[in-house]
This record gives sequence, structure tokens and C-alpha cells, in this order.
Amino acid sequence: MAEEKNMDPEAWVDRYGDYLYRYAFLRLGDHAAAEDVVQETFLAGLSSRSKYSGRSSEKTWLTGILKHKIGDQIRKRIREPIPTDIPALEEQLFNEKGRWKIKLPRWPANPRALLKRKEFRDILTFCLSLLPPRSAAVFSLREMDGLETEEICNNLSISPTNCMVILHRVRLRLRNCLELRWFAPNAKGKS
Amino acid sequence: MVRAERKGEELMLTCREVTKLVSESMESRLSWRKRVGMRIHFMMCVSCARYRRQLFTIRNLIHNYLSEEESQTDAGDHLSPESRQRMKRALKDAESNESTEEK
Repeated sequence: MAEEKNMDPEAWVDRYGDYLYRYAFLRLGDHAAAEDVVQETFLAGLSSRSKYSGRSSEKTWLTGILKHKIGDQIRKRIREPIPTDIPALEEQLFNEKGRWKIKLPRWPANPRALLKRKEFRDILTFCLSLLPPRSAAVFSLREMDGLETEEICNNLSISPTNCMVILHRVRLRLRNCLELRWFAPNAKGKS
Repeated sequence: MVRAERKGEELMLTCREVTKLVSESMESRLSWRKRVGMRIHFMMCVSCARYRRQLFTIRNLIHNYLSEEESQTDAGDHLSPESRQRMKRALKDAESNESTEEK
């Protein structure tokens, strides 16, 4: 229990606060919700610190707690109705024959380099934050936590068909947002 | 030859259908028919071929964003000073409650 004595919960805020906050923000797409789960994580860490074995780093341990808190948030959101605004996006993108109305422009060959630019990272997180909460949850479990689709659907009690529809619409939406805000020749974000 | 014609029809997909299949193919292996339909479509449609590539780009961007976030502490968003203060206060309160309970 030597670790327990060395633990300084208030120092956690400075040491891991930003990291945990970003971790949560990316997954929840909402600043206020991200702050809330981080605070809950610290408080849960405080009351369970006697259980901390010291085998993993403090950061890993706190991240583990945070994951649970995010899971709780996501389960709450699942009760929200399925948004109906996205079929409208499909109407905007495709004509009545089901063809793209506008030819998709080419994206640069090495998008990884983009991540070094703060303006681009801001747009990526902004586009993620525009997703409806429930869809954002399914998408982040799939793409950020790398869970299998089947597992996600089962845990969230969403039918496999709906899960696929949600992921498809998120991808359509996210691509469109990135294009409008960044990749399109006249996008504003780059300047 | 009615059957062959019908098969041919099923292989002709619209862009709208192809975007659904692209997403589906990122989740699980598609049936032979769907795969062939998609391939044929890509040969004729630059936009859908780009769509597919761009979805994989987005997947990579998100993965790399996360690993970069984890390595660079100064990147991206920060907690505001007010939130930090609020969290420290909450921790302090909880800690003092804990110690009074112990007594």
C-alpha cells in the first residue's frame, strides 16, 4: 500500500486532466459532458484508491475508470431517439437516380501530415462533435475503441441492421463535414 | 436468359447503394455478389472509388489522431483553468468528507 500514501488526488488534475479530458471529448463530442466524466473519474479514483494495485501506471488506472464512466454516459444516450435528419443529407448528396450530384474531389495523398496542423485537428474534432450523440457513441466504440460491430450492437441493444445504418450515416456525414470544412477547394478552414 | 439478365441488373448499383456497401465492407466481409457489384461500379465511377478511399483515410486519421494525442501533451484541447479549480475543489471536499467519516 506504499503507492496509496504517495497518491495525491489533487495533483491528478494537473497531471492527467487534459489527457483524460481529450480522451473523453473525442468519444463524447461534447465539452460539458467530457468535463463531467473527468470529474466523476477523479472522484471515483479518490474513493477507490485503496483498491489501486500499483501494477499499472496511475494514468492507465484512471483511464480505465474513465472508460467505465464514458460507457455509462453512452448507455444513457442510447435512450435518445434515432435522429431523422440524416436521410435529408442523403437527399442533398444524391439525385433521384441515386447518383452523386457533385463529383467528389480528390483528397491529398498524405493526410497524416495534416494532423500536425492545429486547424485541421480542430476541424476533425468539430465534425465529430456535430454527430448526434447516439451515433457518435456507436461510431467511437467502433473506430476509437476498436470494438467489433456485433459486440457494440449487443451491448447497446441495437439491432445489427440499425447499427450498420448508424455507422453508414456517420461516415457519410463525417466525410461531408471534412470536405466542406477542409478538403473542398473553397473550404474556409485552411486559411 | 431471363436469369442472366436479372443477375446483370442486380450487379448494377447506384452510388447511393455503393456508399452503403462501402461502409458495410468496413465491418464485415461482403458476399461475392456485393463485392463484384462494388468493383464494377468503382471502375465506372470516380466519385465512389474516392468515397471508399476517403473513408479509409478518415479511419486512419482518427487512429493516428488518438495516438498523437497520447504522445503530445500540448496538442488539442485543454481543460480550462476554471474547470481545473472546480475539480480540485471537488476532490478536496470529497477528501475531507472521507477523513471526517474515518474519525
